[in-house]
Amino acid sequence: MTATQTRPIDAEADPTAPSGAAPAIRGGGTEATVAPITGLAGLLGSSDHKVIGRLYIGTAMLLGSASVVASALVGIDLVDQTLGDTILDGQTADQVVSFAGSSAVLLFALPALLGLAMVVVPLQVGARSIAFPRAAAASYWAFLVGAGLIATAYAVNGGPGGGRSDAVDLWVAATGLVVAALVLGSICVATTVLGARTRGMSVERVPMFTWSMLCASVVWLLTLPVLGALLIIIYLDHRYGQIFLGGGGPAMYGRVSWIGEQPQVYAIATPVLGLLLDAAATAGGARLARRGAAQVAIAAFAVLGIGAFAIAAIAPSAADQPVTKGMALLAPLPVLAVLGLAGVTVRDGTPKPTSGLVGAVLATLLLLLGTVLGAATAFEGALELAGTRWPTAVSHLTLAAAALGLIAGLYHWATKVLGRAGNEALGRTAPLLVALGAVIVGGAEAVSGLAGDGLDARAGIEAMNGIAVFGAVMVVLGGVAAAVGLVGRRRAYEPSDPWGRGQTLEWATASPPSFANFDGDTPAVTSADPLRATSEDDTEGATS
Amino acid sequence: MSVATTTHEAAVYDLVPPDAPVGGTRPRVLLAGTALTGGAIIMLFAGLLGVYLATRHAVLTGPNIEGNPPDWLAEGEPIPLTPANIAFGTMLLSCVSMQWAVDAVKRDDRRNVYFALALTILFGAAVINATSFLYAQTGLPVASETDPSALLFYAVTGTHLALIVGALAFVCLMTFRTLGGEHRGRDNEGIVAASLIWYLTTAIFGVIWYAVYVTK
Repeated sequence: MTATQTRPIDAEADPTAPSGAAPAIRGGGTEATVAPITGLAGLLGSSDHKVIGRLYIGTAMLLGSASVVASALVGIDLVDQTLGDTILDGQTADQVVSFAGSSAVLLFALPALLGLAMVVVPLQVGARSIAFPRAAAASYWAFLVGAGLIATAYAVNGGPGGGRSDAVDLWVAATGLVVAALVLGSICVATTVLGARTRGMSVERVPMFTWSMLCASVVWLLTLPVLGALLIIIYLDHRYGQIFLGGGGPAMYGRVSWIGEQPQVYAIATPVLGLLLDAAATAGGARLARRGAAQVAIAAFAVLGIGAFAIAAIAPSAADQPVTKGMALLAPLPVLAVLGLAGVTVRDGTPKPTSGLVGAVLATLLLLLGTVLGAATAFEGALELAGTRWPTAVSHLTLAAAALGLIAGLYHWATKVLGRAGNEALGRTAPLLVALGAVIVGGAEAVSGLAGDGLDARAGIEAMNGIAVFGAVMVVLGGVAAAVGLVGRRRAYEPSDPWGRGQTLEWATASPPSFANFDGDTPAVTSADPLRATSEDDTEGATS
Repeated sequence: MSVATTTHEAAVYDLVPPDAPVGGTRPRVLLAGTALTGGAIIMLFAGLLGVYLATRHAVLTGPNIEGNPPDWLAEGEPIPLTPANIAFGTMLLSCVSMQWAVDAVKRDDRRNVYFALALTILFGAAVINATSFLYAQTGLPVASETDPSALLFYAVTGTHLALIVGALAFVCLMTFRTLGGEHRGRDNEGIVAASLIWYLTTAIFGVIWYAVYVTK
């Protein structure tokens, strides 16, 4: 079998292509390199970053559904203010809580955004493939095996709070495998940005989503190993001693739950900021305002999301330190800055309310709300927030922002990720539902937290728990609507740039991109927005 | 599709001037990936040592245990320093041989490359042997009823042992590639990447040697 095969790609050869559509990329004649193997074998053996990214996204969304169901069960059980006495018994409740918490981050938000980045980032930087493609594939399959083992561990009464010791060990080992897989994937994405950019694309010129993924990936691979270190110790302790961490109960989950809590949870949502700026520039048809400031804001937000230094096992009093409080207070500022820059960009152009822009704006607003609530933890003593549900509200709002960012990204790059455009009406409606639901959930939890509900259940605020469950249902409905809008349409000819205003290199590739991304020579750029720059040059030339 | 879109795509068609200036020197992919991996490895051991040191501090400044003053790695001095010193010295020596290999690759001196890499692998195996001997000599049980010191000792040193094995595998891979003629002259990225990981492994061993073996 030959390694590659060729096919004509000129628009005229496609009977479904509209007349006048031009090939997406210059150079290389009329032949494109395509993957030689298709079907299941092609899927299982592929090291194509687009296939791996899609697998990551699909798997993460399935696991995210399970996480949402677990969260809903916990929420319903909590309506009467006591966990483990309604639909979940005591031990099961601990297991469901730990699954809901850990899976939302490690099995959904982080791998889903990583998958989106694996598809989009190489296209944005003009690379033919992701760096270390086989490592990227290994990352996905290790993630899948790890996620499967986590599910198995819970199924046989394991996980934190589980009654079967071997299954608890299995959960720890499987979580470690997932962490290792995500670190490997992060290395592939970050290396692609650092080492595989096309000619002329300096770091200052990379698109904002790519920049945000670089910042996020670096923070992930500097913090996830700390979680890995804790898991090694937890595994040894649980398997051999059980004197250091006190066995496999909720205390075990407490050791690793920081990954989904403030400030670490901010790092997971960092790509939302880059997505907003890219979507604003595309939807506004205007050049991104103040790129340098935008890059600084995104990098600052990622740095403020480094929470590994503040874990209780290393620094028990870190939460009370001025640096931790300062980080909490500063976190909303970069989000505000990015929102402002997006607003300026849209104002300078002729904006269209695309699904990507609507979703990204709502995601960033959710993130802003989450960081503002998080900033209040700097006054934890005065507000008496310690041990309450206030931090849970921060986590839920931030994770909802990440999920909404994923939805917005999938709609924005639907033609590149899925090969078909999403339903724009659903793409604008679903984020509204998700955002509204998340605000209801976060608001109800914040009110409960202010009332002192948390470790000590407070009577008289049961209605808040009911409202939170209602909000969670809205989030689920929004998620379902978004999925329907993405997969419900048939494949048809899609232009390389469905928005007609793309400025970055991913819009110069076919939809879906070919196996090698760019047919013919890889593109070279001379500005941060090469497609826009070329359009302007053409306009000026025609005028003169 | 709108007319505007079509016009835009027509512009896309011509986006790249054939003489587009080449950007600055791009960091080589394998080296960039290795540097990022190195960062992740550093954080892994920062986490392990952070927990080790924080727990040791908490135990030593904590209350008496069963009427006795708090102690770390109790019952005398169960961890002998000699094997640890020999292991650390061997790691330092292996850095010299690793640098020798890198330098030989740059000079296209294949005989010295093979010899230096073989020596590095031998030194690495010797460190694994020394650590195994240390484990056998101490006979420290993982589980303890009084303190978590043994557990954390094995967590830190055992993970470093795994790192040595991984780094050795990387060095072996690059050795095979060198034998196949892949790395020579200026194209020495693989060997340099392997050397970076090896130096990092040695540096981490130095920290462990001081924090765990020397100060106990």
